[in-house]
Amino acid sequence: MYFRKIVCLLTLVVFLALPFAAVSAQDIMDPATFGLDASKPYDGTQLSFLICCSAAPQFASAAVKGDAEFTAMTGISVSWGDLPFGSFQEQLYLEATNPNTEFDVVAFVDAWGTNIYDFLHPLNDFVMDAGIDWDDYGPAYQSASTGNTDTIFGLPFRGHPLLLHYRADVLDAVGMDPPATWQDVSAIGQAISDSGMDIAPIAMYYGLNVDQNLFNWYSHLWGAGTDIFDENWEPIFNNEIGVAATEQYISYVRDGNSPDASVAWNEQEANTELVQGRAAMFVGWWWMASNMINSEVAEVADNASFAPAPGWEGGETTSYGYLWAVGILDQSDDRDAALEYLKWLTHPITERRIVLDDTPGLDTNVAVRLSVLADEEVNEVHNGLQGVASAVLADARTIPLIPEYTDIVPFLAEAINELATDPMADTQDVLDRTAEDVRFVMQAAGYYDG
Amino acid sequence: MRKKRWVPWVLVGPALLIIVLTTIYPLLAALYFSFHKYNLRRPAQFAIQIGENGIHIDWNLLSLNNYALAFNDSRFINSLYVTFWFTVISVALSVIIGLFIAVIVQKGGRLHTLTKVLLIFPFAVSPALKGFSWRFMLNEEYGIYDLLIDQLIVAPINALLSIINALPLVEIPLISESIVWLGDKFWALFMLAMSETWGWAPLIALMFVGALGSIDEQIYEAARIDGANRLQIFFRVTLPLLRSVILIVTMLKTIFSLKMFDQVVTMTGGGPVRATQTINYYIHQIGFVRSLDIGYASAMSYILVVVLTVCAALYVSLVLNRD
Repeated sequence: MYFRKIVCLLTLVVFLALPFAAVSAQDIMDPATFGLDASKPYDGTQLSFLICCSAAPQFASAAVKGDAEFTAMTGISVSWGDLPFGSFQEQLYLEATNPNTEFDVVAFVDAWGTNIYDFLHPLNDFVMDAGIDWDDYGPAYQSASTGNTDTIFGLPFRGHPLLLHYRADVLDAVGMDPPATWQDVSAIGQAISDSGMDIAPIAMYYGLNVDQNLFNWYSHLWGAGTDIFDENWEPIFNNEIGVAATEQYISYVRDGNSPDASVAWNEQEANTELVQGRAAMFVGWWWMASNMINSEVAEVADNASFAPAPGWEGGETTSYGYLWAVGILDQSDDRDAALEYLKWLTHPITERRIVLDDTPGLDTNVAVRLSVLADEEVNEVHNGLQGVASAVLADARTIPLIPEYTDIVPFLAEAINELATDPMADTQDVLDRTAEDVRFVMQAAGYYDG
Repeated sequence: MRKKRWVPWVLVGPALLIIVLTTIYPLLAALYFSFHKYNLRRPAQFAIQIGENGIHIDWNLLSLNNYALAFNDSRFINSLYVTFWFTVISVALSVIIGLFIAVIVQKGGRLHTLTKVLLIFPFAVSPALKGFSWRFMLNEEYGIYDLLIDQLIVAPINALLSIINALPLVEIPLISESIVWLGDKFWALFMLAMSETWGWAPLIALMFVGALGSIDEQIYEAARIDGANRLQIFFRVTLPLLRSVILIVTMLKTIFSLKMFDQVVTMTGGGPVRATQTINYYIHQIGFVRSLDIGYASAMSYILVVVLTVCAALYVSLVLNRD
């Protein structure tokens, strides 16, 4: 089904690509191209941008290539605060709640945004006045930027759909197509095991590490037809469908399709198994695609292939669309200058240039706008990866965006970890116990009053 | 000559100011927060209010709820339990291995001197990096520790068991070679303690080397004349004479073990399940990552402060008694 979506999206490419084609190098230095004020009213302003991992290509590219151009057009200089991912969440909360913070612009992950919405400047008027095409962002990214409200708290900046990264040669050897469903993953696992090939069918990650073990669990839950909460915020992940979905999710390690060690792995460690040739499949964020493409193991790099994350047999193919949004702190003294920066930073031309740059160390496939994802030249450079991502994003959704969700996530992540590490643990029992913990948090937060 | 009373204050003033700002103020602020319902998600209401009419204290805003909550929170109780066992394992291993190293390297000679110099390096490694390194080295696919443990410990034991099993009398199951060190509750906590021991045992060894050097050689000579062998000399002469140093390093290591945080973040993430969630890690999760509940995190911190204060008082009294 995703091939049809890809074809439909690619047919739009010609029309969508036209405006970009007309952009010359000179236009890139023209404030009018980005809707910037050519009179430089904020000349000399110094903005501070709180962001993590600026060495990562998906973030480094904008910082290294573009900020000088932006400064030349506006007179505004931007300083990126570089923090490691592990300590970024804490710093984000501390800065957002600090009335005297030095930061003006902040990048935030969808789930973390809920805790700082009260400290972010609403961007609805800005989006309208700047003529930003809100429909150029997929539904999952729109939800993540608004917290499922009418207020836009941030603009999509970097976003990630879940892709199946797989070895085409291994699947060919067992005569199987890339899995469209999680049940297919199990079938392929069985086929690989039966073939006697010395490779793990799939590298999963069930370890406790920034809640990464939940990413694929969501796909199982949503695909099977259930959710974390019902419409009254009652936990329902422990219902019959939730138990079946969770058992399928845990089955990869329990059935031996994923290595025993995956019970402690994080996403990066699981990806390493694929990249170093010890696993045939991995389901993870699309920004990791380059790890496989650039693998030093020739047979891995030569057979690097990508498809949408699997769905549920007879159900949905819904996965988690993970978003980094960029917003402006309410307490910023230079809010207008920061808004100018957002115009440039999130502009489709900027985004397209970043994703087309193949400078070593700066090359990234990460884009968030549908128009850029459908761009023919972009797809050509990245072997159609953006087309696959578009297909995934069409059905992607976001997690519950309520402040209490960060309280709840540890219970869920620990439940998954317990089921993975303890082969005797009963899925229904563990999920029931977790649902009680979740309900306790929601009750304390007043969700069930009245 | 007339004493200038202000001179001492001027001399200690800067240091005192720094201590007040970096230690006393945060301690008092945390104590104050611990009696409040203070969550970063919501505007806080504090008991001490400064208005146009001066300072007013609203006693209704102060409560012991956060402390009560801590002792009813199964996750906090779990973190106490984890911290206790982590402390017991890491302190015992650090002191025993440290003493063992000290006995080996205490003698003179270039190699011993070089070894003593090198001993400081593990302690100099940052705890966060230590955690990353150990996680990497324990990886079942490419970790060097995993390989060494398999080859040097598990394989010989299994070879021995295979020989025993060849006899028709017993059937002892072989040890699985694929232990997932960080995926097993016991081993994850043990390896976390080992990573701490790796850094601390050499430092403790250096402290013991100093203490061993201060023991009068005549005492050993007298023991030897009385016919004591090496083991008897070690257990009946050396160890009793090291008693005060052992107590001091034990208390010092206990204080540091109770504060374990960095390696939990980088090595285990608190898992598997909650098996390595120490108190400090849990406090950090509640205060700055999950709930943003500064009031509750402060209350839990104060419970830890009480425990640490008792340990510190014991430590100081031991040091003073020794002097």
